[in-house]
Amino acid sequence: MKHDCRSFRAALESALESPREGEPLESLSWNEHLLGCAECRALLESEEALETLLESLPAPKLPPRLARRVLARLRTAEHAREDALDRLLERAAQTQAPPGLSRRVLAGLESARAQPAEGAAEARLDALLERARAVETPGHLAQRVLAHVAEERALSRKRRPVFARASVRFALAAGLLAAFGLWAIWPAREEPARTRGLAQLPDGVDARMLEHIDVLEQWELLRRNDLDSLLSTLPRTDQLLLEMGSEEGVLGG
Amino acid sequence: MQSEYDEDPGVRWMRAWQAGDEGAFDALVEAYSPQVYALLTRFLGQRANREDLVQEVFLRVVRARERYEPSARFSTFLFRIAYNISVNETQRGIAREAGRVELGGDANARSSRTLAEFEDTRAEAPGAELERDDVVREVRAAIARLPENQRMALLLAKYEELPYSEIGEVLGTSEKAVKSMVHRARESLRESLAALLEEEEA
Ligand SMILES: [Zn+2]
Repeated sequence: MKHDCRSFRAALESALESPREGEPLESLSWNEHLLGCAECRALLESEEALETLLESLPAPKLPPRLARRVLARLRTAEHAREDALDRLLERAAQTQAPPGLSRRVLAGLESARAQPAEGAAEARLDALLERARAVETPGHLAQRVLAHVAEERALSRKRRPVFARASVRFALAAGLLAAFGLWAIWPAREEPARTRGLAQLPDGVDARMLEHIDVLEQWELLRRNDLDSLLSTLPRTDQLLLEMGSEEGVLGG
Repeated sequence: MQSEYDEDPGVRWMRAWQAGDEGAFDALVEAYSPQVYALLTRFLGQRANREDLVQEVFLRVVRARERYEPSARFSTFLFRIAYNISVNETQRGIAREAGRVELGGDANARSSRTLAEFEDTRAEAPGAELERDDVVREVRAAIARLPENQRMALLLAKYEELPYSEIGEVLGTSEKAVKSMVHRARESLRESLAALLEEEEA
């Protein structure tokens, strides 16, 4: 491309960039360069025609009373969200929670609901909002969380043969308990292809653990940006357990 | 806290709402929902759930109430949410269609459905000539075939008259990248609409 062409095209692009002042392309048609360059002339004509076509598209027709309807629906949606949370909490409360993860998750739910997140949780929410496009709970979240727990457990055992800290032991115990629960009812719920990560786990104990995580799975807020405010209410070890699952896909966007 | 966007009407309503003025949120929805609806329509075509998506956009605003801090004009913030939701919506649509194809559905179903969504033009331009309808349909279909980021960049530049720097904020990219997106979008359109463009030039 000749130097003149390049500068003409640069002028054309910047005219297209700021289309507010009158008809910017019009002024370009007097450009001297066009007298001797058929190519740039053709380009300008084609861009002008495209502008005409784009401008000829009818503006989208707005539904009547759009804003009023959106407002009304927003209010309903917020109420429905509250109701769903109430129902889930109630349902969860009816099940006897085993000591450990699920009980603390429920406590987390309650306190997340009772007090709006602040400070550090806010910062985490902001970071999450950046990352999350529309957050969706993947199918079988609970299973995948537990599969990760199992993997992590195997890894930790290799990395750290001696657990000095009680909290680490406690987290692993919770993971183990969860894995037991999953193992107990796995064949009935899951296709064989997904059992890969759990093959080494021993036989099961507690299926209620799974139900609690299922509660979470269905929990409206988990699909939303409030996930982090829930997480921030939990002890760090439990956060890790849940985050392992969420890294897997809950926050994918 | 002061910011350079305090003069933006959306930012002012947001601030007022944060300070407890519930009516300010209504004002926001009144003022911005038409713009969001129009953008979604241009971006996604005439699909049936656009109003749900507008609601979804404002639901995100509701949830951002406490932590919102203006770092751009309010419309930029809103368009960014709308873009993210739309892209997700498209991906969900593709996933649904893929599922349908696996179940023995028509492999062409997706493209024909997508185009059909861009087609409902007669309802929008009553009295327009049939010939004009065909042109509109063809232009919309060509826009619909653009990659998502190019499509949004072009729509925001063309119909919302957003400067490239702000489009960059909506798309999470640089001004320079936006420039090249718009360039490529126009190039594709000039190619796919070549026949129409020649008529237009004549
Ligand atoms: Zn030239």
